[in-house]
Amino acid sequence: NAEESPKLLQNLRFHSSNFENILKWDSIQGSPPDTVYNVQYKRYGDPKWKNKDECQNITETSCNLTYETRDTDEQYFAKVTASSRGQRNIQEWRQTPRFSACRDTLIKPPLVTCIPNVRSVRLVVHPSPTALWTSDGHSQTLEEIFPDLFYRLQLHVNHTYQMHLEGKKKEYEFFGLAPDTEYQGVTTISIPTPFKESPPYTCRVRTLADRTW
Amino acid sequence: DAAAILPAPLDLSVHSINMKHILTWSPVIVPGKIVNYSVEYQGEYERYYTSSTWIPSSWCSSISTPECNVTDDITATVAYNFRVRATLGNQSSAWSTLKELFNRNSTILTSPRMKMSKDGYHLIVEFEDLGPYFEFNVTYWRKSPNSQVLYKIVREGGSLVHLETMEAGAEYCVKAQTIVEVIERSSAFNQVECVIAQDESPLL
Amino acid sequence: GLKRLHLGNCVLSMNYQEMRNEFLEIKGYVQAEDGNLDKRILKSSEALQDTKPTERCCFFRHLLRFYLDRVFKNYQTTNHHIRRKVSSLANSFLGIKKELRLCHDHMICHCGEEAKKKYTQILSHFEELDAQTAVVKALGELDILLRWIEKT
Repeated sequence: NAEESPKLLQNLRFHSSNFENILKWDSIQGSPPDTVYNVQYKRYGDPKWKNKDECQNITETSCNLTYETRDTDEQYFAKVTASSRGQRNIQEWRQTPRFSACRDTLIKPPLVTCIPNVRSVRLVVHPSPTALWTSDGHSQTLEEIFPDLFYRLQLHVNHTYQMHLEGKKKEYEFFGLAPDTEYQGVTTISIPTPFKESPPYTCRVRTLADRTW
Repeated sequence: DAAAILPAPLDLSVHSINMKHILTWSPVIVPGKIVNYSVEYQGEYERYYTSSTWIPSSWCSSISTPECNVTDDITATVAYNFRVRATLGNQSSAWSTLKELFNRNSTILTSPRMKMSKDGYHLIVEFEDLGPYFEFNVTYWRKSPNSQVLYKIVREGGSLVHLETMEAGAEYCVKAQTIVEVIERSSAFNQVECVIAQDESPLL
Repeated sequence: GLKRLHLGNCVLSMNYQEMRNEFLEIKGYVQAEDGNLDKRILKSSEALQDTKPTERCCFFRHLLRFYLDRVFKNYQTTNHHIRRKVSSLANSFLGIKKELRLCHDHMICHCGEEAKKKYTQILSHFEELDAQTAVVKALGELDILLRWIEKT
């Protein structure tokens, strides 16, 4: 069936990170060069499919559905119909599994500034922007969306052990370090409910030389 | 009747330590033959809502040893029952079941093995890796008059974790217990261990 | 780990993470079985978190009983792995229902009009569909219920 031997498109999926929800698919090698795609979406439980106007008769193999799928309490489907302009009889469509941004979005690594001192390293975590906007028009941060979000910080000391700190505040300092020595700071975002964890942000940092005597 | 010839396994019981649950039974001996066993389980739900249906165990359908790791079958904090039967060729014994139902909140929690080390003035601790259910509640203090007792939760075992930056020449003591949130229990504390920080390094 | 669920004066802890992981293992399989995208049983209009705090306990008890009595036991599959996961979810729900009983015994699980109305709505969405379709759809919507629990 079409599923096993696709002619025009395959691998339809949502690629979502920090609530930016991009629908992506792959064309098929050797498919007609004049293939165009039409994207529709629908909220689970609604009877009607809606066209994504900016993604009708497009040749690209991705479409930004962030705005259309922004309600984190809802679940959505997307459908792509591919057709060849020249060979009208060739047409194929694919549909995504049920997508829920809240459950499926990946969390990007945090934005962190690593500041070395002589015997300590300070890590400053910055708010993580998302593609979601509030009704009064400001971009929401992960910290606003997930109130129980916290940060996990580790300082790796010569590849043998790590110093651990964690919490919700923005600034952290690892003390008791040796001057003029390299350390590796690793910071991840952790969200208890629904359980999500970001890939780590890693910075290499060298403490300053001690010039006090 | 074929089942009557092959005796049913006896003495079923579950041994559970640190959330690892092992079902054991007395082997059925048939000289010169290899007897196989099949294990099935049911939770409280199956007993009361689905007229006592049974579910094949994840890992033990037709095994030859008289024990089965049922950890992956027990994933809720309710009373579970197990049944085992022996098979030899086309003969199958009757099913045997547990004398007492098993609930994972009765698992034995051992106090954690802990390794202490120093790196300069850094006090470092490492716990055994007991799996995803386990966290470690670490209590530590400096051995000096009216010193403060400090606490730290170590989220996972199997890695070296910095506990404290010690003061030169001071003695620090540590003890720890495991915490298993899903059954809302913790182990006893382990033996207190103390270390002394190196003295001030002389100025060159 | 454990999640503290606040249902008015009734506070209980549940192995939310375990349940969520169990569901994530069957989500794709069960939701793919549900070909009816136009219908939904757990609608946003009946969300647990938007229910009056004093009636959340009762409403949640109804929801648990709905899944225990009408969904888990009627879901048929020959796939042993799926069956084990459904059993795990069912037994976790049963454990929560037993905890909720304590709130009921302490008279802090009051049933009012809102809880009854919302539960009746959900039942009617369920009964609009034929039996097996309804069971598959309700099981596939467990992540909606888990989302409601997250937000409560």
